[in-house]
Parts: sequence; C-alpha cells; structure tokens
Amino acid sequence: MRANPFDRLAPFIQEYIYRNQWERLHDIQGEAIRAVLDSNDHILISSGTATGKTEAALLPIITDLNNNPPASIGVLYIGPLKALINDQFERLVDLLEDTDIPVQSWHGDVAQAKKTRFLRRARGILQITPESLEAMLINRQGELKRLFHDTRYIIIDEIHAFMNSDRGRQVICQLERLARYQQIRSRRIGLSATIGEPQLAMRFLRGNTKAAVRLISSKRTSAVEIGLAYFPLLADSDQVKREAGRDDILDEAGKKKKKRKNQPKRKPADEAKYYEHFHKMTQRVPKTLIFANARADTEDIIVNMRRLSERKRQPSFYHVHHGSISAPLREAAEAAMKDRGQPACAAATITLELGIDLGLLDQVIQVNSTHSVSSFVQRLGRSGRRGGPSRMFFYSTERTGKKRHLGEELPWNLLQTIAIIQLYAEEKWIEPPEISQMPLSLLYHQTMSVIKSHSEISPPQLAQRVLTLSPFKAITQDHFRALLRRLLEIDHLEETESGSLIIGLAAERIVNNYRFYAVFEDNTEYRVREKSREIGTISGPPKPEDTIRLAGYIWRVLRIYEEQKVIEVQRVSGQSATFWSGMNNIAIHTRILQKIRQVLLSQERYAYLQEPARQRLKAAREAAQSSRLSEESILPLAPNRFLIFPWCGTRQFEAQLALLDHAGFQAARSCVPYYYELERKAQTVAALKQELAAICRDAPTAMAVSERISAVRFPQKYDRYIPSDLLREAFAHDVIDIPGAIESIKGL
Amino acid sequence: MAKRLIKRTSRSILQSLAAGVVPRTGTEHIVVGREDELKAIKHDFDEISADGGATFRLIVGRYGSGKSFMLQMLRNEAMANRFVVADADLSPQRRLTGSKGEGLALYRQLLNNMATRNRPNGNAFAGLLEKWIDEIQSQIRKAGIEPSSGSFDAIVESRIGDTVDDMQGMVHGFDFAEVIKAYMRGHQSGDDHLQTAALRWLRGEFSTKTEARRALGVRVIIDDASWYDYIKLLAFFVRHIGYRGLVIFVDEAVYLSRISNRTARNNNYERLLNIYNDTLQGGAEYWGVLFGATPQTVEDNRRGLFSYEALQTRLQSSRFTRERLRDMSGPLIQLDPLDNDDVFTLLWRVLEMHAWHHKYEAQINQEQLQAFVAEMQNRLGADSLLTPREVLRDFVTILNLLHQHPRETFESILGEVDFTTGDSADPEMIDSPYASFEI
Repeated sequence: MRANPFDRLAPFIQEYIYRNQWERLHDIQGEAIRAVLDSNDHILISSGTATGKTEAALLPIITDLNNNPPASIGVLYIGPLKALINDQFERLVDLLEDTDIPVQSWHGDVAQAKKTRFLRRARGILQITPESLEAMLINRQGELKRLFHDTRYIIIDEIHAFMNSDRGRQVICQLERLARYQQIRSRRIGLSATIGEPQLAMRFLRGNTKAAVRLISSKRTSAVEIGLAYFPLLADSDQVKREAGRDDILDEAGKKKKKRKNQPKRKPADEAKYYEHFHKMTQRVPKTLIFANARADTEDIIVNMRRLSERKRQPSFYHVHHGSISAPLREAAEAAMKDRGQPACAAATITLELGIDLGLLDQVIQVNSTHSVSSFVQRLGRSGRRGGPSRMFFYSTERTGKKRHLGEELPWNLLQTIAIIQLYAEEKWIEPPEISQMPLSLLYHQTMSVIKSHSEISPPQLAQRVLTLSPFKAITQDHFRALLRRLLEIDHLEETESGSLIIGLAAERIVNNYRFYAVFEDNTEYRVREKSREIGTISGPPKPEDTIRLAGYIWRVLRIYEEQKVIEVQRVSGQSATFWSGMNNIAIHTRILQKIRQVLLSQERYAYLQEPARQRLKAAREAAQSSRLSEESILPLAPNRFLIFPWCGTRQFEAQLALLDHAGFQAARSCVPYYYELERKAQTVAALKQELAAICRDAPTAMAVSERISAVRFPQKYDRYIPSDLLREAFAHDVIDIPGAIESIKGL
Repeated sequence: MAKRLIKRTSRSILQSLAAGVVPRTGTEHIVVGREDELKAIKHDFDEISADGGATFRLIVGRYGSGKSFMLQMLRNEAMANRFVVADADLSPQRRLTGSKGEGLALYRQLLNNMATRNRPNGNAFAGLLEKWIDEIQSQIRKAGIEPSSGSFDAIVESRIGDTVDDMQGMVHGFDFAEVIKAYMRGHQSGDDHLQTAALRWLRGEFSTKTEARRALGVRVIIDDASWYDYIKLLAFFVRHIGYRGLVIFVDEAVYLSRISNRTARNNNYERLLNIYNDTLQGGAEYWGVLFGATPQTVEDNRRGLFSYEALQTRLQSSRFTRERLRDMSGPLIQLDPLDNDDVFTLLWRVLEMHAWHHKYEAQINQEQLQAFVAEMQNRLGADSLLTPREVLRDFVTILNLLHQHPRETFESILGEVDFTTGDSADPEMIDSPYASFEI
C-alpha cells in the first residue's frame, strides 16, 4: 500500500491544505506522514527554518487523533519559548477550527479561565513550556492521570535548545515523572532546525524508553548570513603601561577587553568607530538581540546606542536585559521585543540564553566569541523567523597595547569566533552532551518538586521517585541521603511525626514562588577587583575571608559590596582555595582549541570576515609562523621560563594545572584555556617535556585533586543548598578531566 | 450507656479492629477511660440543643492515642441523640480554605458523610429533605386537606416558606432558601431534574454561576469562600426541621500545619479562628465542630496552630491546668495515652466480645495478657510508636487464629506470628533497592 501521503491525511486537513493553496507537500512532510501513521517509533525531524517541519509532525498526528480519539489530552507539545508557543498556537487554531480537537497554549501569560476550560475537558493538544509543565506536575498531581493517561504524542520543539542543559534534563525528568501516570507509552517527536550531530538529539529523545528513533532530515538548508567585524580598542594609556599583558591574562574566555572605569569624556577614535558600526547594524532591521558575555558590556553597548540615536535623531528602541535589571524593566524589554509592530533591540548576557522570552528575531549580534558551538548554533537559530535568513553578526574586539609574548599577542577571541563558525560550517560539529553527570542543582529542584507535589512523602518513596529519573543515574543513595540530611538541617525539609518528609519553613518561599519552576537562573554576577583592577567575575557571593581561585591566582576576599556587586580581593599565595567555577556554562571544548590551532596554521580565507578582521588574522598567522607554532607548543621565554599552549579545552586545561600543582610545579599567568607560563629549572624544552611525561605517569585521581580545594561552587541555581562534599565530588566527576589533561600533555 | 450488644455490631467492631481501623458503630462497647471527656462533650451537646449554643473543641492526642476513636464515638453519641452529624478528614486536597477548591472539597465530603440515626452511614441529606417534606404533607393531610385539593400545594409551600424564610437574614440565607424551595417544587411536580439540580447545588457540585442560574435561577454557588456560611445555614435548617442541631467532626488537622505555603496555612488558621469566634460569640447556632489534632499540630509555634498568634492566645490558657486538674471547659481536650490498666481493661473487653460473638468460653488468663502486652512493648520503638490501634489489631488477629485453630495455644501463636510494626497502609509499592532507604 503506497498511498499518496496527502490522501492519508484527515479530510479537514486536506481541505485546509487546499484552501491555503500549498503547492505540494515537502519531502520531509511526506516522510513524516508515513513515519507517524505506519510506525510506533519516536521521530526526530530535522530541517531548516520555514521548511514546514512543524506541519510535518502535526498533520499526521492530528489525523491520528481524529481517526482514533484519545481518552485524555492527546498531544503534549513542549516548546522552549512562549513566543514560539503562541506562534504555533495561532497556526493550530486555524487548522483545527472546525474540528472537535481543542488546542490550548499554556504558559504564564495565558488566561486562567481558558486553562480551566481546557483542563475540564482534557482532550486535544496542550502546548506548554517546561516551567509551566513543572507547575502542573507540582500543583495538579491528583489530576495527572486523568489529563495524560492516554497522551499519544509528546512533541519537543527546538530540541537543540534543551540538549546539554539542566533545562533539557528537567524536561527528561518531567517526561519520566509523567510516564508514571500514563497507561500508554507516548511517542516522542523531536523538531529541530539545526542539529549538528543528529545522533545526540536522537539519544536525548529516546531517553530511557525502549523505542527506536527514526530520523527524518531535509537536505534543504535555510539561508544563513554571517559577518564578523574586528575592532582594536585602544587602552587608557597609563593603564596600558601598568597592566599591559596582565589584562590579557585576565581575559578569560573572551571577556571584552575594555575598561569601564575612568572612561575619558572623549572616546578614542577606534572606540567611536566601533559603536558607530554597531549602531548602524542595529538600525538596519526591526528586531535585534545582542548577546554579550558580561553585564558590563551589555550596559556599555546600550548606553552608547542610545547616545548615538539621540545624536543622530534616529529612533531609540534599546533595552538591557539581565538579572540585575529590575523585573519591570526586564518585562518592558520583553514586551518591546515581542511587539511585532515596533523595532526593538535588547542586549542580554549569556546566562539568559535559555527560556527568557524575547520573541522572534531578525538578527542576533554576538559581542565577542561564544563559548561553544552549540551556543552559537542556538543563537543563530533564534533569528530568521518568518522565512527570512538566519542572521548573526559577530564583533570581535581586542585591547591593543604592549604584548610580552606570543600568547598575549594572539587575538584569541577572533580566532575562537572563526573556529566555532568553521566547526559548524565545515563539519556540523556540536559539543557532545556530558554523559554521566551529577546535576546537583537539578537534583535539589526535582526533590523539592516531588515532595511539593505529594505534600508529604516517605523517604523510600522519595528516593524511588527521584533517583530512578535518568538524569540522576550517577547519584547514589548515599549522595541522596547526604543531600536530604543537609536539607533537614537547613530547614528546607521537615520530618513529620510519622517519619515522612514535608517542605520545611525555610524553603517555602523558594518552592512557592513561580520562579521555582525554572531550573535556570540569571545568577548574580560579582565583579572581582584587586584595588581598582578588575580580575574577572564570579557567580554568587563568597564570604569575607574566603579564598577563591580566579584567573590562575588565589585571592582572599576582603570586602563585598553587595549594592555594586563588587568583591574586593587581595592576592595571596597558597594552594587550597574555593573553586568558583563557571565551568558548567563556559567550559570550552578541546575541539574548539584544536580548531583554533588549525585556523591559525592554515592559509584558508573566510568570506564572512570584514577587512580589518582579515588583516588581523593575517598578522596573527604571521606571528604564529615566525614562532614556529606549527612544530612547537612549548616556547622558551627566558631562562627557566616557558610559554605553553596546551591546545585543549577548559576542563582539560584546569586539570593540567591541577596536575602540575599536585606535582609541585608553579604554573603562573595562565589564560584559560589558551596558554600558561611555567617557571621551571629545566634547561631545554626537551628536558621539560620529560618532566611533564613523568607527571603523567604518576597522575593523581580527580578526587585527590579536588580534595586540595577547600570548596567548590558552581553557578547553578540551587548549588548553594548542596553539601560541599557532594559539590566536590561532582567537581571531580564532571569537571576535572585527568585523562584529557594527560593526553594534552603528551601532545605537547 | 452500654446498649445491648448485637451480633451485627460485634462483627463490625471485630472486623474493624483486625483491620486496624476505628469501628464505625458500637464504639461505646469498647471505650475505656474517657469518662471525663465524654461528660464534657455530652454537656456541649445539651447546650447546643437547649439554647441555640455552639461548640468548638480540639481533641488533642498523639498518633494512635484514640483521637479518631473518640471522634467516632462522639459522632455515634450525637447521632443517637438526634443530631445530624457529618465527618471528614482533612488532607492536602481538603482544607478549611484554599485557592483550588480545597475548602469546597471539605464541604462536599461533609455533605457526603452527613448522617442521622436512621441513616448512620452517610448520604443522609437527600433523605432528610424527603422526610421533612413528607412530614409536612402528612401534617396537612391530618388537618383535613387532601392532596387532591387545589390548595394543598400552596399550603405545603407556605409551610416550607415559614421554615426557610427565617434563614433569609443569615448570610447567603436567601439563596439557600430559594434552592430548598426549588427542591420542594421539584418534589411536588415530580420534576427530577429540578430536584437533582437543587441537591447538586446544596452539595456544592455546581462549578459555574451560569450553570446554577440556568438550572435553579440563583446567582451564586457554594465555593471556597462561602462554604462555611452554608454549614451554619444547614445547622439552622436541620434544627428547624426537627433535629437537635448539626455536629461536624473534622479529623487529621495535622494537614493544616503541613501546608507548605505560609499564606495558605495562615488563611486556614484564620478560618479556624473565625469558626472558633463564631461558636463563642453567638455567630453560629445549633451546631458544634470537633477537630482531631496532634499536640504538635497545636503547639508547634513555627507552623502549627500556635504559629497564628490569635489562635495561640485563645487556645493556650488551658495549658495551665493540664498537669493536675483538667479543665474541660476550654476548647482543648487533651487525650492522655491509655495507661497499662486501661490497655488491660480494653483487651479484656475485646476478649469477652470475641468470645460472646463466636460463642466460646474465653481461655486466656491475666498472665497471658501480660505476656502479650510485654511482647508488644518489646518491639523496636514501641515506647513512642505503640498505639492501641496496633495492639488491638494484633490481639484480634491472635484471637481469630486461636478460634480457628483450637489445638494451638495462645503462647504458640504469640511466638509464631510475625507482627508487622508501623504503618502498613503504605499505598505505594516500593522497589526493593529503595525500600529500606532512610535518612
């Protein structure tokens, strides 16, 4: 039976297609109709924007619902953005107008009366965000069975937005919790515009279910426009003298090299040019979203954009959007971005990548490199709705000034941007998901969520309900016990007279707030300063007298200015220090470093580079060549002093420093993950290599390394409630990559 | 007070005890050592019926100290004394008030469990209405007016009007009266739909006002905010149709303290305070409410009743006298755990009942009973966890075994049976890897 896919659709869908004058079904649509109607597999549909993949999934699914109406909500559609859900909702309402299949979008902005009406009947299609689904799991526990027992399909839209994040793992937890109330196994349908390695998305989709995943992908790619502009920014002259080079040290992972403080009234010419260019870019299309890696940058950019608009008497529609901005201002920014009639431009920080709803965009501007290919792909995917091409424009800036050696001389930021673009363009490569993790913040979240949904639960029931969720595979009962004990101690949990657990008074405010439903948070970011010099940023406040490790040094916390979010520190020597890590967010993958090396050593030309960027790359390549970087990764700087390029990712780099530290070697002036300097009384590079090889032979375990650190902090939302021993273990487990470090040392 | 025991009652008592639940009937046959409490509450009942009083009591005792038993017994007592009673357990879904219909859910449960002497097992409300209308009709017939006469219906209606119109001064009284009248009209004209709609409305089952207006012509429905007003109306109503009043029993008040939202918790305590104030200040007539609560629910000043200051000041005074002289006039009634003598008396009574029921001569002596109690107390954690409920459950199990296997001895069975401790009513199966998970 090879009926025409069109003929197999429900009559009202055929009419709809006819009425809307579609010329033909796309390939993926035909394929999806067969896959949905003729198999029981999960399905991943991957194709460019505006190629009709949503319809590809929905048309046969609705046909199936129509032929064989479920006894509960039939389709659960999970989408990452409210705007996306609203968009899909309007399309569905139109399609389902004359049918008996209700559809309801469900998120914070949808009127309660509509929700209530939909739930009473509990049929058709529910379109929801992970956060609203969490709320439903918590607050409607008694109704879940009635609502979802016969849910046939779970559609996850923009599946790449969920992968490799706590939010994605939260979705997995939710689906597995929901499955406990279901009589049938729901088929999962993943939709993705841009997927590097479909295997990863397929694995995500399959989760712990037994069914096979079928891949439907389109050869058609949507148009992408990418541009990269480079601007050297002159540093304040006397600061250049004092700090030349040092700033580069601190320029971890692409933080912009520009001082906010002591800005002269008259901006230097190059800075003026930079903002001038920037302003033109934002004025050319209606909706622009700017991503910067630090808050200060978003503020700077928007201030300058407003100033320029005023001076040129051009429309000013600029907003800042990050966690320190008050809620009303943030909401105003979101509203402006979502309002289709008005142009708008918002600048946001990295942490807002997921779940914050800024609508559908014409272009994305990235200020300095992203930390990962997946982040690049995801941001790229946010632009180019309504059939337009995906537009992403990069700015790469660099502080000019005196450089002491090749490490400081190379424009890492520019190189990294190119490497990330090339990894995706040439190989469609994306960072693989971390396999076995200890997502402790999510563990806290799901634990509290399960308890709240049951009101009260016995410890064995709780352990069973939480630890069997697949994101917690690496969590043992002992880990869990340690967490629960801690939560009892801090009154986040309370034990009842009958031995069951309820939410403790101290956690009521957390759990009852609507913010609890989200697992991500724009962390409070503190700027760390020694005197007037900024060293970097950390998430969440340490305590005075704490020691922290940042930018390759150990610092003691002297004072915390809560208002300004500034931490004043003093450099100290010593080993043990709290590891403040941005790892989970900004760990750069080894492949990116290797690609940087390749970009640096090749002669390839990239069409998206604007002229100054092209020249800067050429200069960098010449410098690399003259230092013979193609043959050597260890360069002697002075007697007993070496410059090392490990060409490995953040985790491996950190582990390498930890190994050296463990062996009593003094690595200094590191710039994670690009290079470090090493003091060693070895006469030659060859002798140093032998010493390093010896370290590798006798390497300590990750746990031993982590024990030298006094405490570990990740910037995850609920990590502050996790016992430090657990965090340390997670650090050893998830962050310190000793084998990777050894491999990189061997490659030197 | 011990009524003559009948087989049906003894069977139900023994079955309930073996299952570890409080018997629904016949509680008076096995009550031990609660004379003072009973006296005080019976006095309350008299006051309710004598001069339109109202009563509010918190029966406070540890888990298994006999709160539920006490409430059940009082319920039976009230029923026997021509009160309408209603009981319900609080739970996460049933509270005094809530934002998602939790208060209404409690109201519905109360209405479902509404019972009278003639209908002791609940669902008495419809019957109560029927009986009332029947009585009115027969009175009118006795007065010489035949149902066939044209004026009969009008007279019935006016009689009913006399009763319900009295309520119109009370909050929501007008609508309540309208619905009662609608029920009566349905009754007169044989309109089942109308009758059902009126009953559904009174049970709080209408979810929208539009629906209610279409079916009954009233503009309001019973909801979370108003259900308590209707309880008061019901009390007034049952009084006026011939009962002595309405007594409601609300067990498991511990769930109020477990609400994990401070505002929601305080809203519930505020509602509790309203009820208390109403009973004290004459805002309610012909009704009483008894709550079952654990000491912690009351005294925990972080999340218990005492965390709500207004409740604390009103309830705490009775603690003064608790140690030596018990003050039975305060709202709190503390149930002390049964002492050993009480437990023995109780076991004897059950033993006698078992023997009487199964018609055999009881063979168990004092020493054997002591051995049994000692065995129970030797269990791990028995000092804090052992409750009459468990003791009785196991005791009746042994008696049953002994009765079925006459060749066995009390000692041999006691030695063999593996009694399970703790809460065996865990509804959820736990997979073995997690079954022994402890914190």
